[in-house]
Amino acid sequence: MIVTLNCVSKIYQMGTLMTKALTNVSLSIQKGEFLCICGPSGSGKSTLLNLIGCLDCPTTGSVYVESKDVSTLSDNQLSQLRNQSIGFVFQSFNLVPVLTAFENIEYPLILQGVAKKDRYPRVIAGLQNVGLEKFAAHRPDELSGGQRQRVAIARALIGNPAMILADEPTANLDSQTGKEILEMMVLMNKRYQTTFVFSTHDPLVKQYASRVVHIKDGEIEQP
Amino acid sequence: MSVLLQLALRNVFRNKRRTGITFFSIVSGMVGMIVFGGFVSYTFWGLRESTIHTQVGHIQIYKKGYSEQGVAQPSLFLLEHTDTLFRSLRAIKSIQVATSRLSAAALLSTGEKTVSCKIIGVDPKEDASFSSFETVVYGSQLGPNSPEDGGVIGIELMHALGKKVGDYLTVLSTTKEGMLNAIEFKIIGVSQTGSQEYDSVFVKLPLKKVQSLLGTQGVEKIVLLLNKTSDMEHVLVQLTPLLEQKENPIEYKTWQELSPFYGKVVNIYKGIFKLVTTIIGTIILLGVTNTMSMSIFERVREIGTLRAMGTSRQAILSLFILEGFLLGSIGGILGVLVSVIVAKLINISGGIAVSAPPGMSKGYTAFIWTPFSLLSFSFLFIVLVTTLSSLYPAYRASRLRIVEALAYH
Repeated sequence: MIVTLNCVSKIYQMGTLMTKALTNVSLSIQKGEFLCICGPSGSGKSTLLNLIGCLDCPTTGSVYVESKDVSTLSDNQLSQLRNQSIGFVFQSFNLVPVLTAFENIEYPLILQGVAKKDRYPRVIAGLQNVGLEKFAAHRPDELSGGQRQRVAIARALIGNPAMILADEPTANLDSQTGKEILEMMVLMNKRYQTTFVFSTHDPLVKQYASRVVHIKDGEIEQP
Repeated sequence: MSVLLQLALRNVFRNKRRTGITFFSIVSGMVGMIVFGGFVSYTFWGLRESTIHTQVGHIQIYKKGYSEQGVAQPSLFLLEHTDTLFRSLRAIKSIQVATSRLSAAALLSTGEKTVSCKIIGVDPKEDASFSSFETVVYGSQLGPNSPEDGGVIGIELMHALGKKVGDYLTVLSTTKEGMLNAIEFKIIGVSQTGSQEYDSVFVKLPLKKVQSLLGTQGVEKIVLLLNKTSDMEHVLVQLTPLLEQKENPIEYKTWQELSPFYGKVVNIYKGIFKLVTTIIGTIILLGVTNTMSMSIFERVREIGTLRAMGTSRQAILSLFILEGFLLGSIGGILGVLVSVIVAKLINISGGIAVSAPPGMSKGYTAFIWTPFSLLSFSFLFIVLVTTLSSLYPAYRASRLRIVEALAYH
């Protein structure tokens, strides 16, 4: 089991107003899954992904990532866990604008302390995987939306993480590019047995998933 | 190159317009600081060297006890039989000139008018070295070829007496034994030292003439002029054995002890320089803090992304502090270069005309000195200020909540 959530709730407090984003969510994710978290806007998909990705802490309940209770980890330990075990793909790509495609992909390896001579072939292989070897020296503003998302996928995969979290990865792409990106994620899932967890409210995306979890009003809907 | 340094360097030039404005403010501040500092450095040098070369020399040697009791009873504290002492002094290589002086309070009379004055007996052969900062307004300075009865007076004294070069004046004083004595001398020159007070009292005469007036073969002091003012420490060490001799005990005073005015001027200018530096530093600090805050404001989502990928809080903190450091370093280098160019342009164009300071009879032309110490101080000051400016914005960036940063639009 890569991720286990036990009775997780998340409440946001804005002034005196309390907003329940998740209520008593329990979920287990196994290695190699291609899991789709599906639900309308405001249903709690992103909150759930944030908790799985160790970006936020639950109000109640516990989150285990690779058998580690994330509530017991320090900020530095959480940073290390995210760097070594989790890759992120964002809806708006979130590439570092001052770095080239090569450097964006290389960044997680630098954080992992991989030597420069070992980084180079891995980054080149990563670029080849997503078909962007010719765009290595291009900065994000010189790439199309689809190309940026491919770079983001290569960046997420480069450190050989146990899972990749993708928050509505196709939302900012046209349908054809979105389809290509999803197919690429499926390919990577099969090739490397990397667990993929992605959120979407697009019902067409579900067909690519090995498992679909529906979420509504902060609760997982039972099939 | 470390990835943080690479990121910081690229981020500095990310918003070229804003970075350009920040560099402009840093460079402007540094030009102000260095040009003013250069003006102050030149003024210190000018005041120091004019004090040394017109009045006091670098070191004055007296008979032991002169400093405490010599003012009340100068005749009891005269140096006599100074040949051995002079031989020892001339053996010290850093001493350019060692010359005897004998001064006394006296009355100066034209026959119709009588004023008080200070007579200074100098060795005409050596006096040129001590007069290099004096301006001869009329006639000539005392020199080896001057007439034995010739003397030079201050310009203010000349105005007070209404006399001119070629006229004769009478000096009255008391001898060592307390007898009234008088001598006559011919005005061969009128000079201006810059000090209005001094110019209104001094009468410079050949040493032998003053000795005959005061009825003594002794001298009040031996004045030393060094090759360089920076040789002081080294010469003082070499003087120590001479202080300990028993047969002709001596003591000395340095030019700083003899010119408290210099120390006061230095303190005033240093105070103004500190104030200017503080104002400039504050302006730059606020400017860079604003630049850094704007930069963070625009990069909230990027900070969230870096944190999500595993960048630690300390690394985010270091990144923004590094950006402040680089802003200061690059801006500082530009500031030094522009300041040196501005200083050179001012100097080439003839310097800055400064009107006479209080107590001085003439103004001067100031030049801008840019010594390495001033340039390095200004550079390090700016780097420190910009690095400090980045601390709070960097702290704020490192404390951003990842989820909120990623959701920021």
